[in-house]
Amino acid sequence: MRNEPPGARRKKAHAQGAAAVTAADPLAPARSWLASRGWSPFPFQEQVWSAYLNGKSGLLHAPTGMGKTLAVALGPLLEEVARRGEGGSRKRERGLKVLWLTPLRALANDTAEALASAVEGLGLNWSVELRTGDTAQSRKRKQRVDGLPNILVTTPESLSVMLSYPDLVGEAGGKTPSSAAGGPAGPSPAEPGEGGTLSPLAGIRAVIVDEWHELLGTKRGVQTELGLARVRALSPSVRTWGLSATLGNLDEAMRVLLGAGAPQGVMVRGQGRREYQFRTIIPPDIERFPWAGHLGIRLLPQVCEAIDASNLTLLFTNTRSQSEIWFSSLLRASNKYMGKVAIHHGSLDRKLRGRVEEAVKAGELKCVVCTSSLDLGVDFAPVDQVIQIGSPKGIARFLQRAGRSGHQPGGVSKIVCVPTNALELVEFAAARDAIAAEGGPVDVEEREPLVLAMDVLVQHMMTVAVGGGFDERRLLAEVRTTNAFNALTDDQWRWAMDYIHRGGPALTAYAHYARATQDDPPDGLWRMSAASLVRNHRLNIGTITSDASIAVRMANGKVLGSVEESFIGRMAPGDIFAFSGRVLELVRVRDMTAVVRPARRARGNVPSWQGSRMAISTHLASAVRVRLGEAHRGVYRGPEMKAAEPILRLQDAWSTLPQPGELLIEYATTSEGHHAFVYPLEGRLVHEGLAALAAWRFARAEPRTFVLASNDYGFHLLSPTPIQFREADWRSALSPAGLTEDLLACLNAAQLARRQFREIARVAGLIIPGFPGQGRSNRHLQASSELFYDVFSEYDAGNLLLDQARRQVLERQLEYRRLAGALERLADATLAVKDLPCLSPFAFPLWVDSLREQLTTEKWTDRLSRMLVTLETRAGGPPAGRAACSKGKARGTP
Amino acid sequence: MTTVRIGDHELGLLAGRGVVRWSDRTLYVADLHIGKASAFARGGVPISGSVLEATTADALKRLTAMIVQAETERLVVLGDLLHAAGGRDPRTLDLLERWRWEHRGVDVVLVRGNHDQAAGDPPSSAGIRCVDEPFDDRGLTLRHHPLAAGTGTATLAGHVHPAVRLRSPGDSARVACFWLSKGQLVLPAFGGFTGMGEVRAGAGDRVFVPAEGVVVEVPVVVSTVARVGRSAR
Repeated sequence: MRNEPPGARRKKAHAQGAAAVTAADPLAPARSWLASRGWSPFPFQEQVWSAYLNGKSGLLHAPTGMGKTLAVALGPLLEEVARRGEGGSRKRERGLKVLWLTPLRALANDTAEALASAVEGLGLNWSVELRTGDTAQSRKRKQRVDGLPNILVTTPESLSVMLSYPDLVGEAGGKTPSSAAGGPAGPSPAEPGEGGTLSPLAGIRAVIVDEWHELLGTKRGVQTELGLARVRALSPSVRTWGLSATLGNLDEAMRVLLGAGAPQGVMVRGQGRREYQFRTIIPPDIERFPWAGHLGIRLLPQVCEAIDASNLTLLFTNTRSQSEIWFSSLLRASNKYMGKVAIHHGSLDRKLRGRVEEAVKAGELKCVVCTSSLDLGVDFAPVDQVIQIGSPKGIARFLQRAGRSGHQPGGVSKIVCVPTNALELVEFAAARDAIAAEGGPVDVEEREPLVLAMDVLVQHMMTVAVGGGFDERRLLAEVRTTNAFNALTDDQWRWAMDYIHRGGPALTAYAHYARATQDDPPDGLWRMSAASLVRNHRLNIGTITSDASIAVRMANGKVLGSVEESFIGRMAPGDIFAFSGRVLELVRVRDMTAVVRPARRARGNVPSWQGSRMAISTHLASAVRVRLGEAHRGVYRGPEMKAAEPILRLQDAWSTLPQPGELLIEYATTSEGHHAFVYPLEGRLVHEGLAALAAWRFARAEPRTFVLASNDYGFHLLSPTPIQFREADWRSALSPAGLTEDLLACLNAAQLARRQFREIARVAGLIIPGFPGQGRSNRHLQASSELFYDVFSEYDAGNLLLDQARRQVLERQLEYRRLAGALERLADATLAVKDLPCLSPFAFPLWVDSLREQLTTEKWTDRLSRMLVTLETRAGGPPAGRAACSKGKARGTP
Repeated sequence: MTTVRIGDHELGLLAGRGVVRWSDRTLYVADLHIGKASAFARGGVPISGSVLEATTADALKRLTAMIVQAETERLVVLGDLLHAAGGRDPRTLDLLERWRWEHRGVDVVLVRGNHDQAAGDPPSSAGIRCVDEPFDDRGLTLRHHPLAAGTGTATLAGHVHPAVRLRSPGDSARVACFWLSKGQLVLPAFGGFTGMGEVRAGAGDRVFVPAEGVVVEVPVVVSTVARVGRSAR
């Protein structure tokens, strides 16, 4: 278990410690069990136990994982020991007592083992079981028929699926449970919980949410909130405890977890801060170090040295494609890595991942190349070093990754930073500043909770409708106890009811297409019971987590893993990509499966996973601004800044290094057109919004088309016609006035919302899930989310899912709060405008690493005619080498 | 008006996604997929009644506009008039029949497509003559499914919902198109609730896109450019 010292998992015979203890001190059984293993409790653990025994809910946070599991697990167990001490029966009481939610399936196993050993240690005979997407169907059915275990470890999705089984929830109307409509269960288990109530969930005493910071701010977090509200309605006295890493907004995190209107929770701070040992690999030849790009592969020899000097290294990359590159490069670097280096990322097949995790525990590996799939979770106790390839993007994430090494008590977390381009040296220096900040807690980022995610709401309503039905007013009240839907209006609720009833506001001509239907009075419960709807709905519950995934399969049938549909959708048969450490050629895509074969060419285009690109956090961005300001004044502190000095000086000489309070704008002209580069240093998402906004506001004055691109440092406008803006033009283009209206107006053109609709359509049940072997029968019911978006926009403009897509673009994709803050800051900034003969070191990465997002206000026919001209030119002769000359110039100049 | 000539036939391409043969003013459209939204709703997909009503009504309204524009008295649907058996709800069929009543002077022929096979012929009260492919229409072969190798005769077809991706520096859009290949003219899908399939035009093919009231020919290099662009990414 990751929260205990090594060796804890071994099941030692323990000295019946619990039984011997008197009831005087309720914490004594825990102390004596720990003492029997030679440990003593941390003060924060006792604090949580006492708070729990006093009936409190709360949140336990700590920078790292030490002892957190036992802190929250032992409360309910001590309570049970005390109950029995008071003359309660020693016979095992049936029914679920403790529900443990974890965001990661991979965590569930370790957690269950730890809980089982604690149960045994306290002399209890409670049963502990798992229920996740990986649990066998037969096991899950047994849990439905024979009753749930006393302690259940599960995921938010699995809880949601549980809530869709009437025999697990009990009838909302308080009637005798009957077998599930469409469910395969035989006679229903008339499982009487305690107190004569009928719901098998009514006896839950504690819900524990592990890694709450990972859920907060996501749709799975909203799904968790709704699930918790359901559990609280069924078991009103339940206590909720969350475990979280350090966050900038812990109080808010706790309020969201406990629900609106809950009594004040108890905030407990865990074990103190950890020691970090921080080293950056400095590129030996900075003059030739790339200004752009993300591979950093030229530091491979130094990375190999670092790996060789340690026992077990986790090598983190920011994207899956990077992890593929590093994995294959390491294998090519030396034969000694054969069988000693493994790859682990979210889209690999679960079995492969499981095998890697086993090999790590068995000490067979030297290095695991991974992405955020290993940010949290599985305890790899022997890890003694973490290598971070590329910018960590945020301080919290950086700390979390660093914390994966040196896990033993008193251990030092060793992290080696590998820059992949020159500017990342500055980011590492800035991250080091934040970690080394003297005194007080480390200044880390906030996670903003999501509100009013209508797709998750309608999915939950369907879940409850399938799981025994609901009374409309009672469910509305329950839903409003969540932070996410505390502000839900009656109109929004009305729409959601219409949506689950018949897809939208009533139109009598089509009333026979009812989905959820209402029972006759007096109960008047809403239910959804048609077998096909029930089945499709349960399949859809898991979709909050993942993009529609396409299985990647070799022609001989071997499954390699899965990739997002959007990724495969961009490729044609014959295209080459790297996946799962192999270079593959796409043969065909059929029935949600991509058939591949080993590619004949040695090197492939590396798949680019746009979805997983993270933006630099506000905290890190402002630390970077400080460092650049220092550099402008000639101050270069630390090895990273000293290494980056030649390039920063070049930037300063050709253009300038923006100081805090200054906004740099560079103009340049290439054969591609006329460029404006703007550097607010606010992170990629904010820049995407700023770019769209500025382009739209410029184009409002004079119709024209821009090519937009953004990265973490700034954004880029490219126009086929000269850009001649005065300072006043920039001021009004970047003015905070009318932000929301203008953003929404330009969004429509940019079609960002249409893309957001992909996920919404799946969660809200518009996409009938494909499942193996059944692909064809549903075919006439399948349409792309984009088509739904277009059709709804045209014919059902009041659909709140459209509204949500637009809000999601604002809140999630453009980080509206940050954007507004950035504009306020820029309004006070002085402008530094530079006219450059060629691209500067800052401009170059923007130019090459461009996410192309086009926005236009010109009439479609004008655009069309220009495209035609281009095509005709090309058809008439060989295409001009349009990009090559400017690229060559920029690369060659330093 | 953009006109193409296949064999002896002068064919006008209409921006409303139809083709008119000038010799007898026959109007051809393909892939209406009427009742698709209804079929989805019946299959449990949450689509509002307003969408059900509007997608059908809109398709019929646009059809009316083209009939008026081409002053035609004969309309041929090149397959997939109805989307699925599940879409044959009384309200949708009622809209269709009412539309037929308004245009009772127009002779309507359906060349059955794959969706029509599953959905069944429209009710006889709609007065639509249904024939199987290939159907010889005064020297013009009518099919739902185009043939990859061409038919060797002047042919009109549908089924693939052809589209091309147009690009200029920094701009890109997928547009429904007419695709003329090997003497075979494939029409864009007419229905509003239909997807698109990008075509891979070969040498000698011609591609036309409807845009704001006109139909423009696009150089066929388009599809090669699109493919190059994709693999370069």
